[in-house]
Order: sequence, then structure tokens, then C-alpha cells
Amino acid sequence: MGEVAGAAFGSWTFAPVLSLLLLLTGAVYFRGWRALRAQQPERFKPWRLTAFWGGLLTLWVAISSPLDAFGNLLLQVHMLQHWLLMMLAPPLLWLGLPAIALLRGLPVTVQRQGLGPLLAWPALRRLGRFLTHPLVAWFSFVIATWLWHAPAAYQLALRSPFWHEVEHACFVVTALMFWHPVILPWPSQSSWPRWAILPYLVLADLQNTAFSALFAFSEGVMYPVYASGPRLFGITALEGQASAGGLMWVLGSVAFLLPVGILLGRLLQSRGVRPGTLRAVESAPAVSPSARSRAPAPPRDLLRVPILGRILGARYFRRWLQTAMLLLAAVIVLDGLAGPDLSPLNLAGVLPWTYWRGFVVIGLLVAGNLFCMACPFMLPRAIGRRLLPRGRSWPTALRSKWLAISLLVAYLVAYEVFALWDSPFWTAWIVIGYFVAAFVVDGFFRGASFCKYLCPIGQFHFVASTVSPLEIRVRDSAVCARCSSHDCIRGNATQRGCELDLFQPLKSGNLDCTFCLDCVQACPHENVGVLAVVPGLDLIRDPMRASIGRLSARSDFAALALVVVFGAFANAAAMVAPVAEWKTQLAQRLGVSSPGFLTAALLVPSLTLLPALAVAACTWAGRALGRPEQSAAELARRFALILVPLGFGLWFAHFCFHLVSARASALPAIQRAAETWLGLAGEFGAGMAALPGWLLPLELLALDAGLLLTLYLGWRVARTSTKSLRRAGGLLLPWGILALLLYAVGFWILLQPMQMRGTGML
Amino acid sequence: MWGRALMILATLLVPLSARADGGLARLVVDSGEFRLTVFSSPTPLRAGPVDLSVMVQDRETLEPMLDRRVELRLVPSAGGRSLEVAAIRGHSTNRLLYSALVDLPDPGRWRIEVEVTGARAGARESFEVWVGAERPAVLALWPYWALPLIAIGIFGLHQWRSQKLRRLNPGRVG
Ligand code: SF4
Ligand code: SF4
Repeated sequence: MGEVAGAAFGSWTFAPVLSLLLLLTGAVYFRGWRALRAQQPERFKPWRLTAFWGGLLTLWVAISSPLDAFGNLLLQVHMLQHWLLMMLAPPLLWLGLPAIALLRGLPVTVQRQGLGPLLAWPALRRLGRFLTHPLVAWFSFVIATWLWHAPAAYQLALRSPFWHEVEHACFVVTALMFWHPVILPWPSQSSWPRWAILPYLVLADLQNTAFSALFAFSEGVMYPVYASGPRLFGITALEGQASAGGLMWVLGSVAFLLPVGILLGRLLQSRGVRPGTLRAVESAPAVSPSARSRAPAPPRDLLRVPILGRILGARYFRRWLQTAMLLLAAVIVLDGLAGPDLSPLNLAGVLPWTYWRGFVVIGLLVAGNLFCMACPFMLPRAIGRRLLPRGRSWPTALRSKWLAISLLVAYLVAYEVFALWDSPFWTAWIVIGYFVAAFVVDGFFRGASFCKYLCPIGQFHFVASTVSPLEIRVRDSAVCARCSSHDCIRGNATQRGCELDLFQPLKSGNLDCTFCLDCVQACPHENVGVLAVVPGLDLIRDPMRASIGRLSARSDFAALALVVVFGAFANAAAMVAPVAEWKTQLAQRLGVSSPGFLTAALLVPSLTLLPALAVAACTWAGRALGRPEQSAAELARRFALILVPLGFGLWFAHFCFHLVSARASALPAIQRAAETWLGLAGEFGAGMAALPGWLLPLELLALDAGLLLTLYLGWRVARTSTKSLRRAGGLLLPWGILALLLYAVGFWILLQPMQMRGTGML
Repeated sequence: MWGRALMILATLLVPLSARADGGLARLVVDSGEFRLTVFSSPTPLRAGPVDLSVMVQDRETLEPMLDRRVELRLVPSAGGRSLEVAAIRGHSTNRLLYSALVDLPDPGRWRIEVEVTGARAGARESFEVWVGAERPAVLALWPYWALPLIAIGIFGLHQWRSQKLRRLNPGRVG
């Protein structure tokens, strides 16, 4: 029995979305509770926090514990789960006075601009009042209980996970409604006198008694599904039903009658309290005046985080990163040139195409342009500067992104045409080519011309880092206004200034920023930080930017963004089976013998002509519908940028797929390289690991987030173009349709069988 | 009060992320020294990923037996390739069940054979199920495309409310 009990109690489900949501709710509540406790310690006592967290924990236990796993085998276990969802979690949550605390825990902008207009909506307030009216709440609770326990509905929920979730949702919502008038969490007020809650609870208990008795004394099995299942632990369906009835009877009565006792005590006690004492607490303002006028908190600064900030700000931190990456690049080149030309067993096949790309997109999502920060090509650039006659300026005619865009297109096409992921040899040569180009360009030209005007990888990072949550920016613009040395751009005796000509007071966003932190080191006033920003918002701002100018006047930036966005779709589509099949058939029909030629012939227009046509059509339609004042070119440039989050969503999904599907592929390649170069013999492990169930949901959610951010940015751009809501809608419509079309294509791509590139399973 | 509505809306999300376990009991049979119960999910069965779980109990005491070997064989009645898979306890949420995730390629009638082997004796049982046509992946994954639509709807509402508030309080920003 010990082993069985162990297995039974080990039957926990880990529901990542639920757990994350509850954790997030708990954290937001804590933030609000702490702020409110500082103002109203009498009201927000520690037990309120315990109660709210206890309510969340109860919800989590009800859904994740063995109660859920055994609910379809044992009725009494299922009833216990329902009791937790309906009788324990909701009152605990209300006891935490969650409404104000949760709101207070949110950032001020979200409170005011996000939730404010919705919460001030009279219809929503009326709905809230209606739902928590004692009569409505009581009947909803009772009807939900009885209806969902009717045999047809109950068994439907047992058979179908979807209906099971709907059932639980109904229970939680109606139970929250039911317990609201009982707890009456501050600052709610009831139109009913407090004593009326006594019959409210007693009547609920009476119906619970009738409900439980039905189970306890029924002579037939109410839910045949339990009769047709295994008699676990020898318990028959009828016995299970009777004990479920008893359980509900006892636990239900405790839940209903305990508050009756407490309330009765309070009512009797309050007769002795001087009028006004209680009311003084009850009528305290919902949010204190100081809270109402709360200014937004200053943005978080990574450099001020203990330990991490010190490490990041250390003078040679970046050098160490670059040296480590340089060594890695050297190993990749060595293995690529002299190791086996077998991608899954070669470091040049596995490390760049599986790991590096995956970690780069994760880094961009959680921080910023970390790859440029650790760029291994910095050292050859520095050597080039010493050895070659540096001093020329980059030709004025080439001071744009057009050359880099051409190289990015060439790189994306070459990747497919030459199957670079499958050729360690050519991968090594690309790395060498990079070293030579960085050495020569920065050896002859001033500044970081290679990074700014040529490097296609850098351009990808610049564009993608516009949706990153961190930005290198001045902490206080007033300090810059008083500064006369401008070391952040000019440099000083010990530290060079920004090589990319980004003058901090005029810098906006992450475009062209390599996260080198030179400006951080150079500023004598310690006025440059790594600050938190709202991802993507920089794409809709149009200030005069240092070294860039206005984005609304830069066609090259718009074109770069479009190549990155359409590149995401073209690159991902090329690796799914239906597209590969279609390409083969097309080649046969056209009599094309070279698949590489056909790939190039399809890819080049997909990255250039197709986005150009799409943008032209959207601009034309947007202008016709929205009649904005801006020129067509300006609109095209501004709206093209809003597609970046959607493109990044797909890049993220795509590279995460490779990283996760081939997560074990480094091991055999490292073992093989260790044997070849160091003579350390070992067994070659497997490069493939099963795809985890959360991968596809994660990919789809990344795409969802990309779409929503794109649409939001589009809306903001449209609103700055016209004051009228209708015209803004018209202006956005074609771009919204384009984004939805791209989203649908991305969704379809993610559902297709994909090549396991880098694992040898093509 | 708006706080109530906020709370109710927030908690709506919570149970939606929960997952049920188990499925429909397809077969309960006493066989050899065992009582075997086979569950399948989803209900109704469809081509595509299918979860098959087996509970093995002692026929006399009905105590779950956790140290047996359970093999499943799925044979299409219309002929074609049959599938063989081992059901193991680590796969299921309910650790008393032996489970396997099988990708059923075709709709139609399938015979499912269950073979249990143990230290002393074994048992073999079979039953038939009807498998419907595969549910398109787009339908199966509806929450993922519905999520943006819901968000767009709420955002539309938000903008409409903001506009209205601005009209009522022209001096207010936000
Ligand atoms: S960032 Fe520092 S060096 Fe640059 S202008 Fe501001 S205060 Fe001066
Ligand atoms: S110096 Fe500062 S602004 Fe310039 S690239 Fe480096 S981190 Fe970015």
C-alpha cells in the first residue's frame, strides 16, 4: 500500500500557465499590499496578505494536486476539489481586500491609461454591482452547483477537458459572487443590512444539506461513469457517492455556518462600539490623495542592480565576453575547416546554427543586444586599427543601411541556397570572411563603420532590439543639459566615446546601439544607465535621433525592418515540409535542374519585391481610408516599422524550435571534437531529444504577442496621424490586414512538420 | 463597484489553464489475476494524438499494481500498419496509470490490444474503438488564435471608453 499511496500522492500536474498567472497575481498583490500597508497599517494587516496568498495557493492545489488526477476515478475526491474551488479559495481571496491592492500593485500607467477608462465605465460598474447583489449571487451560486452536478452535465465535464475547465470556471466565478456579500471586502458597500447575510448563509447551508443528502442517501448510482470505472481501493461507486455526500454535508456546513457564527458575534459586539469608530475605518478613502497623485516610478536601471550592475559596469567586463566569444569562434573555425563535414558532429554545424541563434533571440527578448556586446569581431577590428592607416571617413554616399540591407538579403538567400546550417566548412569560411572584413573596414575607416554600415548580423540585432526591454539611455537629461564635455560622444583620456556617433542626450531607442557600454564608462557624471523601457514603443516615436535623424525620413531603416520581418516568414517557410514539396514540384514543372537557383529566384523577390508591393498597397489604401496629412512616403516609412514585433515573434518561435529540438546536439559534437583535437575518447551521445509539449504553445504565444504589439503600435501611429477615431481606424485597416495575413501564414508555418536542422534529421 | 468586476474577470482566466486528467473508461475486464481498465482521451476519439491509459489492479484486492509491463498494440481494421507502444507510469498525471501517447494516423475502426506481463502471470485483452476524422490543428489550437481576437476586442472597448471619457472631460489626458 505504501508504494500505491506514494504514487497517488505523487500525481501532481504542473500547469505552467496557471502557475505563472497565480504567481504573477500574488506578486502584483504583494506590491500593492505593501504600498497600502504603509498608508493604512490598520486595514492592510499581514493576515490579509496571508489570506490572499492562501486563496491563490488553494486554487493551485485544487487544480494541480492529485485531487485533479483522481477526480474522474473517485467522486468524493472530485467533490473535495469542488469544495476547495467554491468554499475555501473565494472567501480567502476576498479577505485579502484584493481590488485596491491588485490595482495598486500595477504600474501607474497601466492603472491610469490601461485599466482606468475600462474601470470607469458605468456599464461595467453596474455589471459588478449586479453580479455581487446578494440575490443574484446566491441564485447564481446555487444554480451553478445544481446544474453542473446534474448527471448529463457532470459526465460531460468528466469526458471533455474543455467542459471540465468551463465547469471549474463557473464554480470559481459564481463562488466569488456568492462570497462577496459575505466578506464585503473594503471598499465595497452593501445595500443590504449586515444581519441579512445570516439568512443568506443559513439558506445556502440548507440547500447544501438537501444537495448532499441526495448523494448520501441515493440508492442508485447517479453518475454511471464511476460505476463503469475501476473500483479503486475496492470502493464501489455507491460507496463513493455516499461518502461524497457526507463530505459535502460536513465541509459545506462548516463553510456556511462558521461565518454565521463570526458575523453574529460581530453584530452583537458592534452594539457596544461607539458609533463612528467602525465607520471611521470603513469610510477611509479608497485611495489616499498621495496615492492618487503618485508620479510614475523612475525606470529601473540594470547597472544599479546589486552585483549584476557592478559586473556589467566593470571596465573589462566586455573584453572578457568578447575574448570568450573569440575563442569560441576560433574553435568553430578550426573544427569547421578540419573536422568532419557532418553538421551534427561538427562544432561549426551545431554551435552557430542551433545554439547561438537561439540564445541571441532569447537575449534580445529578456535584455537587449547582448550579441553585439560580446561580439568576437571586436578584436580583429582593434588590430586593424593599429596596423592599417585608419583615418578615412566612411564614404558619404554609403552612409545608409542600403549596403547592409543587400548583404542581409544575400546572407538570408545564401543560407537557404547553400544549406549553410548543413555545411560546417562554409560556416567556418563565413566566420573567417567576417574577421577579414571587420579587420579591413575598421582598419581603413574611422568609427565603427563595419557595425554601422555593413554587418548584416548587427543590422538584424539593431532591428530586433527595438522590442527589447532595456535601453542604454541618460538617467537625467538635466545633467546632460549642464554638461559641457560631452565625453559620451567625444571620449576622454581613458575611454573612447560612442563609435557609432550616438550622442546620449539625443539617443532614442536601441537602433544602431551595440550595447558596448563605452558611453557608460566615458560619462564623467555617471549619467548613462541601462534602463527599462516598454518593448517596441520606440518604433512609434519619431524624434530627431543622434546620427540617424528622424525615422520618418529614413527609407533605409524602413526597408531594413521589412527585410527582417519578411525574412522571418521566408526563412521559416523554407524549412516546412509542404513548402519543400511545393518547391520540388515547381522545379519539375518548370524543368529547373538547379534547386539552388529556384530557391534564390523565390527568395529574393520575397524579401524585396513582396514587402515593397505590400507596403505600397497598404499605404495607398490607408491614405484613401484615413486621409491623413502626411505624405505617402512618410506613412510607408512609419508603418513599415510597426511590423517588427510580428517578425521578431516568428524569429523567436523559429529559433526556439531549433534550440529546443536540438538542445542535446552540442554533446556529441563536443565529444567528437574532444576526441579529434584532444584525444579524449568518449561515446557519442544522441543529438535528438523529444519535443516538449510546451514548445508549440510557446511558439504560438510568441507569435500572438508579436501580432498584438504590432497592432498596438500601428494604432498609436495612426492616432498620431489623425485625431478622428474613424480615420485612424481607416488608416490602420490595411496594415492590420497585412499583419493578420502574416500572422495567419506564421501560424500555419508553426503547425507544419519542420526540418530538424542541425540534428542530422533533415 | 468596479473592483468586483475586475476580480471576477481576473479569476475567469484561472481555471481555463487547468487540465483534466483521464478520459473515458473503454474497457473494464477481469483477466487472469488482474482487473484491467483502459481509458482513452480525447472523447470522442479522433485521428491524431491519442492518450491511452491502463489501470492494472489485483483482481481480488483491487489494489493497483505498479510493477507490471504494459504493451499496447493498435491494429486498423481496414488493414495497414499497426502500432505498438509501451505504456509507462511516468507518462501519466495519475501515477497509478500506465499511459502512452499514440499518434493515430487514420480514422476508422481500430482494435486495441492490451498485454500485461508481470512476475508470475500475464493477461491479454482487446477491444474495438471507432476513431473519427482528425480535428484540424487550427481548431484544436483555437485558444492561441482566439487570444489575439479577444485582446483586440478589449482594446477596441478601451479605446471607445477613452474617447468617451475625453469627450466628457476635455481637460483630462489619458
Ligand atoms: S551622457 Fe554624460 S557625457 Fe554625455 S552629455 Fe550627458 S552628462 Fe555629458
Ligand atoms: S557607446 Fe553607448 S550608445 Fe554608443 S553603441 Fe555603445 S552602448 Fe550604444
